[in-house]
Amino acid sequence: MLSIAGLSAPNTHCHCGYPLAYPLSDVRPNDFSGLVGRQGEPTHLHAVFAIPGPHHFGLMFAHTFMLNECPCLNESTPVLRSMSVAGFLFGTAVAFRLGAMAICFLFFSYTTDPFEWGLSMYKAGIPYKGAFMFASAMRFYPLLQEEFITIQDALKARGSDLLVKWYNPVRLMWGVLTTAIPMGLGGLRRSRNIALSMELRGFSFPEETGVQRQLFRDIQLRPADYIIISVWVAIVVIVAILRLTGIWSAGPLVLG
Amino acid sequence: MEEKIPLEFKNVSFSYSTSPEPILKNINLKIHKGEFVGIVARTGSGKSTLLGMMAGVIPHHYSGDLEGEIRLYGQETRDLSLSKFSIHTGLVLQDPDSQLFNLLVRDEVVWGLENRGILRAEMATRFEEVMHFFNIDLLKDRITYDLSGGEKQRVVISSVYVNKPSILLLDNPTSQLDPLGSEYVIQSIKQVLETHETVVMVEDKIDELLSHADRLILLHEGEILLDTTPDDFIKHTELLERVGITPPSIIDLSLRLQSAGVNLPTIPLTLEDALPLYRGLMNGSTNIASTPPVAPVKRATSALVTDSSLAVAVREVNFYYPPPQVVHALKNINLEIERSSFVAIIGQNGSGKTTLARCMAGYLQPTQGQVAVGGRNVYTIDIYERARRIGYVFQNPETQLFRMSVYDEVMFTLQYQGIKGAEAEERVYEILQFLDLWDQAHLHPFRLSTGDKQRLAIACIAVLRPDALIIDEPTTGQDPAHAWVIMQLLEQLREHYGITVIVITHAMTLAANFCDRIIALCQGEVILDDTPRVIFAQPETLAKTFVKPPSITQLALSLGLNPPPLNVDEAEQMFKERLL
Repeated sequence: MLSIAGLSAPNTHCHCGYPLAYPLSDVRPNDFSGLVGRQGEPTHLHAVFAIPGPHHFGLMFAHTFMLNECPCLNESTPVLRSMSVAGFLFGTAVAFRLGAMAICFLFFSYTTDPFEWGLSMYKAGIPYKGAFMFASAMRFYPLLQEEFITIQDALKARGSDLLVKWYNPVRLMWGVLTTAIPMGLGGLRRSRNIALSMELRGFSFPEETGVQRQLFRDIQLRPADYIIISVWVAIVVIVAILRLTGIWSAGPLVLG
Repeated sequence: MEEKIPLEFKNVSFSYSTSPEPILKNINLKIHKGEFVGIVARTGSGKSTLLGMMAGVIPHHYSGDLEGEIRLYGQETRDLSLSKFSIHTGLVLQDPDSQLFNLLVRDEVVWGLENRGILRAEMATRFEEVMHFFNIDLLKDRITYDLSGGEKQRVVISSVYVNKPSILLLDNPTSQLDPLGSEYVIQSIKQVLETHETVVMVEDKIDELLSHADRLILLHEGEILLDTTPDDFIKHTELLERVGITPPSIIDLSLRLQSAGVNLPTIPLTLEDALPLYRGLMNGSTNIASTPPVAPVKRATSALVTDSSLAVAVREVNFYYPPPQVVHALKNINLEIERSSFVAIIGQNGSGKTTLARCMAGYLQPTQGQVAVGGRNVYTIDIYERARRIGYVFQNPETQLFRMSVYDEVMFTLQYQGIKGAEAEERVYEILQFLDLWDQAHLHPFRLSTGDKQRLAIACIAVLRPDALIIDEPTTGQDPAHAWVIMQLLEQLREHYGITVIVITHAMTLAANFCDRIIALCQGEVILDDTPRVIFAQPETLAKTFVKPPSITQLALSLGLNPPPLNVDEAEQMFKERLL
């Protein structure tokens, strides 16, 4: 389990949380910067909880105002006419569900070395090339991040307000599209070069010659891993049985 | 059995599938075992293509029309796959970032061994050996993307060398590094040379090739024009000049003096060779009157940060990077930069020069202190006006180009200033004409050559005619001739529009020739701030930044000539006065 010490100090080797931290940390109001460092890496793991926050709020908001007829308010309150309790409850449920997933993923990614992740995928039978590509893709996020910051500053140098007015969704979208050109073309060229230098160091050697690839690092399942996996499987089985037999039924919230 | 020649080219021509023009024409070349061959060429002359053929990259990764035959240890390279190639050859490319794809240095270095199925025990031994060989033991458990450029490139060399390739190919491995980084990488390469492996290296810094290579090849427009020893190579001055290769300044000086009648027995290739030779000459001459050294310029400090007669004023600026790693990047910086001056900011990577530049441009807010541009706090000026006051050109032009044509790219800047119609068109035309890009106005920016992309990036900022223009390493990764052209261009912008130019650079020869002021940063502090001549006369202080004065200046200083010359013309004059 995560200790308190683990909470305040993320494993600096692990940057897989970038994909999620990415959109938020880059287009953020200035006062958010105390929580998330310039490179988009949370300075403390507490930030993990803040990262899904806006999405969370957005989901609740959208469902509350855009779903269903309003059962509780009438025409005398024109502004809030379409607000709905059912929508609010449903929105909250969806938001919490997504939030839980996001937080799990972020915790996992901030504490786990992507190459160990890749290695375990390989050991579980996924082809080496696939597993390695997955792990190394994760490794390139910091580089992308840096490049994105440069591109953003380059836009500012041109006097462009595209990414500055982040609160205007249309301009923000236009800004993201504009940065996509240098990001995309740069990424394309880089991936070509990386593929080349991988081949030059024998990435395809085992497949072509039939030589067995050896691994320098090794990981094994520890007793704790077996225990966690068994507990997790047990929970899934128990919940499934409870739900299927109707002992534990869903709440009264019915959408329609 | 007769030993096979490592690499042999017979009548090789090649053109990429994207262009009908052949990039290499009729290449005949043999590379023998244990040789160190240097390839000298301008950008775009096919040098990387030639090296790529030696590594099998062509025809196996990039396709095109290949004629003639290339043999690697007697085997036709068309029949070998890249994996088979990788048993014999190792290729190190320019950009270390695209050659590192593991998380830890340890994983990176053994990765090639893993693929070859080397057993774990042997992998461990070889890994330890190579880390020790290149003297990078301390980097073992570091994260690859957290390393400095020089460290990265040394890890790349180790991870190629650990596979024991019999031919090591190096494609301009130091071009993107700072002086200290290059120094370390060159040390590593010298280490490899001592093992007498076959090494082929493309390098823009001819000095390094001249002092170490067994053979030098001059490649121009896809043809081999010279293939000879370094001593003979430098004698072909006319040819070198015609293809646009500038010989190292010491050689240039010696040749000029020799033809003027100074009695130089040989032409020295390096500074170390030149020193005793020139010392001998100077002792023989009677005319050693030395002028007194120039006094440092006293800069008047104006108390007001709002003094609008200054282009940029930096007042008591401190900058701390936020946690997790708090870094005190700028320590109490005070600077005044006059209008229409040409300033160079120099220093080691991590010395704070980029942080300072970003504070000047208003991208970063100083933790303490203030930066004023034209008398106004730059951080609080709105983004539109800021662009008109201070421009910033980033190192990699490709991160600054957003539109589909050169014309639109420049127009893009004007659009945010509300400049439209005839006036906008006129301005775009003017700047593109001025920077010699008008003929290519309809092209996609990414189709331009590297030098032209850099020029376009400058055009996009200069079209607003800002008061000051900051340019981050405009010459890194460019060949010396291109670098010279870019600096000339900046000089013209200054003369024509009165723009204050601030360059961040490692190229001392260029700074000496173009800048009227150099600011040296070391660990977040300004350690030197004066004219190039005064700065270079203090090599001890300068050494803290790992920057060396131009070699011609070093030579003169070692001979006691102070104030020192800044370029070959000045040095020629100086030595002629004393020796003739």
